[in-house]
Amino acid sequence: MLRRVLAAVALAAVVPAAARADEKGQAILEAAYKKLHAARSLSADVKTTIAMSGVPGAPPPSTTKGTVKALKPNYFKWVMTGPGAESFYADGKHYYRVMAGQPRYFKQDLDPDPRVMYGNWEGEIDGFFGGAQNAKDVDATLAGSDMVNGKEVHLVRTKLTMPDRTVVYAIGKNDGLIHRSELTMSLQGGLRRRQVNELTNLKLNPPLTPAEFKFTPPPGAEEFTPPDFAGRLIPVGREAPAFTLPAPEGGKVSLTGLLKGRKALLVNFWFYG
Amino acid sequence: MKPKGLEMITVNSGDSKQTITGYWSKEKFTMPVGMGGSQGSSTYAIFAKFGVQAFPTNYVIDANGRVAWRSVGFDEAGLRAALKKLGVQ
Repeated sequence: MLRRVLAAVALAAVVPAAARADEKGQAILEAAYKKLHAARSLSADVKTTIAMSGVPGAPPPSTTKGTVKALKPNYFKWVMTGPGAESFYADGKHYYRVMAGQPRYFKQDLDPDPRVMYGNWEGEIDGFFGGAQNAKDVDATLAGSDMVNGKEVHLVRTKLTMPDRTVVYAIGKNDGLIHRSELTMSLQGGLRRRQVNELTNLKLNPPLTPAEFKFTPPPGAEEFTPPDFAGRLIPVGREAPAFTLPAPEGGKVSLTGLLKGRKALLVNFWFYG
Repeated sequence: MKPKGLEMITVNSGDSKQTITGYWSKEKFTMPVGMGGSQGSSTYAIFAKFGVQAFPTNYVIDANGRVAWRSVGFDEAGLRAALKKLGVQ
């Protein structure tokens, strides 16, 4: 026993302080995900602020407000109001996305036991559906303390797998719940996007029933069907039409000429734009 | 980089000679390009003939000139499998 303790002390002594902070951040984040995942249902009020920066003339920040409700295994609604607000619904069979003021909505199949729901949130919802495994491999570090709506919180910074994306979570020191997430990412041309979700009135295991998650399309809105870009392709097995095209450096290229003596020809249709 | 037995052609839609050659020298590409031209040009019919409605669209044509595989978007795994079937490694 003593030998093991000494070994542990020796190990601890060589671990740099920064690494210990990282482990603490990771532990706090995973505990928050676990706590959310252990709940059967969840409800909260949500305020989302989206701000763009980095280029002159970036649009002013916009704020939308609404509520989120979730029930295991696959009932969900994130209903927001305000300009450009996006709402998401999962009724146990399908997943829907609605944009305020748009005459159409998107519908897709829903996993019977989803690990994630896709939308404008991070761990505050990913934890509920996926648990601590959704918090793995995010490179979490403890980044200080803050106050959110009168609650003392740890700030845990995570790096997402996509480059240049970070999320800072505000996790209650007393309740261990995620009260705020702040996602920043770089877009094309130096534009940066920052999305802050603030959850208030957060409740675990509120009484919710599947019936509450019934989706009703907005009045007049129609389901969007994506165009079938593959519908006119030449069927496999059919002869490819012959072609001869000018080459940019002069001369011509033809199907028969390129195929001569080859096992296969890859034809790639593209544009630079 | 190109596997043995495989030739590749890229059919361009709408870009100028200068754009294409500039891009090719910047990226050090060597594969042949066919210029499909813009809507209204005589060469543009190739896109309709191959049923191209989105970019990128890719076809694999076998040695007999028949369509062996096609896809819209990038499907590297599918492409590799199709080429393997034709004996291209």
